Amino acid sequence: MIRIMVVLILLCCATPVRAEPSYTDFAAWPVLHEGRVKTMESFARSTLYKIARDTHINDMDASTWMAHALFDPSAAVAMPVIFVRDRSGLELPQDRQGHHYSMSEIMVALRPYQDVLMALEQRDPAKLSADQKNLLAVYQAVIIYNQLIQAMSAVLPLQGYDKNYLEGGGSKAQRALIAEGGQDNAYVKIIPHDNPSMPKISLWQAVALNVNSPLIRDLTIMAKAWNDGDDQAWNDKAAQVKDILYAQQSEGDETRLSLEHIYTSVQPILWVMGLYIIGAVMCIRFPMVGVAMIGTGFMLHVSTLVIRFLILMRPPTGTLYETLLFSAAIVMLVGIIAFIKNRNGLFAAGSSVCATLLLFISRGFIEGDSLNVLVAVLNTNFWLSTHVTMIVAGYAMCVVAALSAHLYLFTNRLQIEKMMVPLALVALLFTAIGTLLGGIWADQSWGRFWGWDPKENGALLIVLWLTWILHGCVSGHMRTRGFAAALALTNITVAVTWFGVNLLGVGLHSYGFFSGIAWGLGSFCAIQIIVVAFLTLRHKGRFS
Amino acid sequence: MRDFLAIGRRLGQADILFWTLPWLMILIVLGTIAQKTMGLYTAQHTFFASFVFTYGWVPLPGGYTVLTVMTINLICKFLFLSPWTTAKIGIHLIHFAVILLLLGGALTAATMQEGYMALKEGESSMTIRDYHDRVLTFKKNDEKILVDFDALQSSDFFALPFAIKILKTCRNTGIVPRADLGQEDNDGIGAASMAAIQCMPVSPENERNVAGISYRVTGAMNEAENGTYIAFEGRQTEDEIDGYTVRLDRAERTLPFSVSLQRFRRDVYPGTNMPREYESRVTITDGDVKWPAIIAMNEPLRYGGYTFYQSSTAVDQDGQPVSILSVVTNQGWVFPYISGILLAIGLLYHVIWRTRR
Repeated sequence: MIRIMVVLILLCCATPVRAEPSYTDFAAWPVLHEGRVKTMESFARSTLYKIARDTHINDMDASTWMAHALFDPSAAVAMPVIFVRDRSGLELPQDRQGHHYSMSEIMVALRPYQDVLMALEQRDPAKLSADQKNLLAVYQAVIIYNQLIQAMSAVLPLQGYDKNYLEGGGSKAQRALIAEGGQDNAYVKIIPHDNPSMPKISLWQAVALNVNSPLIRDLTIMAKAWNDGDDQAWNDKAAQVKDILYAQQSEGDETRLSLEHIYTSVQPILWVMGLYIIGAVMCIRFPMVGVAMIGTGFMLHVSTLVIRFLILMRPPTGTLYETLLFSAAIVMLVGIIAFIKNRNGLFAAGSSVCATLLLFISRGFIEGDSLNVLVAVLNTNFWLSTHVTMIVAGYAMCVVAALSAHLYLFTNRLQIEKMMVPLALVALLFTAIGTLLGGIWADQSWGRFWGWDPKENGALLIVLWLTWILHGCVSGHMRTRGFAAALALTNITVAVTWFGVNLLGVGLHSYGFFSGIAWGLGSFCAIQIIVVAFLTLRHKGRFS
Repeated sequence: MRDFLAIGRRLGQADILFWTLPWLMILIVLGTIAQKTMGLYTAQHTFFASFVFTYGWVPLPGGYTVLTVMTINLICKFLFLSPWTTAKIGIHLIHFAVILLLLGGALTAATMQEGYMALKEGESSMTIRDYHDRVLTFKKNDEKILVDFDALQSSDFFALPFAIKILKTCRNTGIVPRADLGQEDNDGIGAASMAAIQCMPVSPENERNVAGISYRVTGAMNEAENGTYIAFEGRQTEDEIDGYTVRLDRAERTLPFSVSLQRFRRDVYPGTNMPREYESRVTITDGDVKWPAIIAMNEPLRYGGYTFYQSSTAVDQDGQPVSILSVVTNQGWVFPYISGILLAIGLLYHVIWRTRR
């Protein structure tokens, strides 16, 4: 026992500390991006994800990379950052690790395609081929990167001169070029502005509007410090700027930004996953220890949801990613309750594995920054906290009910057999009421209770499936094993509703349209059918 | 009487539901996937809002048939096979709630009418335009002849003093220059003298389609008005034949009151174009009574049997914002609310009773 604890403590100690702690203050700066004042780290992750399809690059975290891109453009253009899938038909070096290329490499490779790109941009994205889409994605990444490296050009020291553009440095031609490059550059909005619909503006916007902000002076000092290689001065100024900017935010915003800064640097969900999976393994030999770990993970999980609620000021069920996070917590909660009620370590371990899987899947839906604002029709706390929460809890209950069916098919234990019908009923309760509430929301916002929209149909499908198997059980059409097999397959209806509907890309509900998970979904369904068939038939041989 | 009870009991058996539910599930899957190619409107009418549909030449039961069977099954179960014991209260409530839901659905399907109203600030209107139905209108003073575009036939126009022959109709129309532009035998009149209509692929979203028609007029009093004409949705000018003006547009209905838009607010998230909220402040004028009201996202206005929803927003040619309100009449709207409450109570009761046992 002690040995295991020691190994665990060592594992925790082995977690690498952040490589360049001096960027911590810079990472906390508030930036206005995609409709929300967020931390520089969140902004950097979101931007880096758009360019590099990753939140880390060349052993740098997103903020460190952002600092380089802003303050050292000449080095940034040589850094391999831009993601190019299968070279996208461009003349680029082969076999590049991580498929990342530098801005200068890509600028050269894109040159022959200028006219093609202009034409592609005008076309309907749905009609583009995979190669065309990739090429366009590279071009869009270049546009973003280009804005980024010029965002600070007004304050960067000019080569061969003491002064920068703002201070009147450089030759006439040089100044004209810099001003032209900076014109309309509105990507990095950090300078406070007294306009409620635009509370922050970019440096070049401030120059154009003649906004006299002390932050401009501070940025100039930071740019000079970076140029001189004076890390200490740069760090000190970054810390000072952070304090000034935070002091200018309202108290609520300041707390939210601090929470967000902690949230993005700690990445609590990774810890939750670790605790769940180790807890599940421990449950086999030491159920109490295992459940204690799972319990700790659960508390952290719930705290994460609360923090997300406080940052975004809305229920944490607004995006596909958030529904996965939320449902995993429900699955785990039921597992823990089942353990407290009847000391069922196996069920707790199973729930823990399911919750971990859900959290693992959720990782695939973070596009850099997972804290997003919502489109108008979704932006309602009442319906998000009733309909969406209810239906996501319903999905989670379906997963738990299907888990009990799998475990029953696997172990044939009476204790688990007794859990199946009540769990299926609770799943039906949540999905049915959730679906009805959804209908009522639709009636309130679109003017009809039911419109046979894909997402509505998906939710209805789960309700009908559960109704069908419960009636089959009552009417005697399904025996215990058949019922268990059908209940286990509920997972498929849930997966199809949750993710498959978005693949269709039609209907009012497709806010989270994405492609490329069709394979994952197909494989999941196939594996699920094979597993259930195997478990059901295996039982037949052994027990009947 | 005994036979009646026996039939009722048979029709209320669970096996009927057990064998109809899988078909409903299949229908839902088919109807959902079909939306990708057919569009929501057509798929909905083929699979769900139909008694029978055909696959190839095989007739198959549609959504209405399945739901009718289920409703009868449930009503019979509720009336003839429900022992009134405390243990079964939950089940009975659930079944009753579903019966209400299905009957409400039937009432909605029979009575619901949808349309929309597009208003600029300061504008007032009594007219709702349909999302789907298009009509060809011939108007002279107070006389109006309306012909449903989907069922257009040359014989529909017998009431006119001249003859019309339909040359071409398109559900989705493109306008192209005439092939014989400037030649002697060009018989086109008005817009048709320069342009012709060309059928384009029909969009699955029916609202996006632009209906169009070309027709030939003979026997008009003014000889110069005999020839080929075109009409299409959104055309700014109107042709005039023997004093009749011709228009092809969405079908319109008139409200018993008028709605005027006082102020339209469109909030975006800071620094973006992403809408956060829309809100229309309107005044309803019903006879002598003026009534101020707000219609916002997720906050509809119900008045005089009509419900107004903030549906979307657009910008007109002058860059002025336009508020688009959808207007719905639905006699069955209240059923889901009652049913939802009963269903929740019933399910909760049953789950608690079941887990206590």
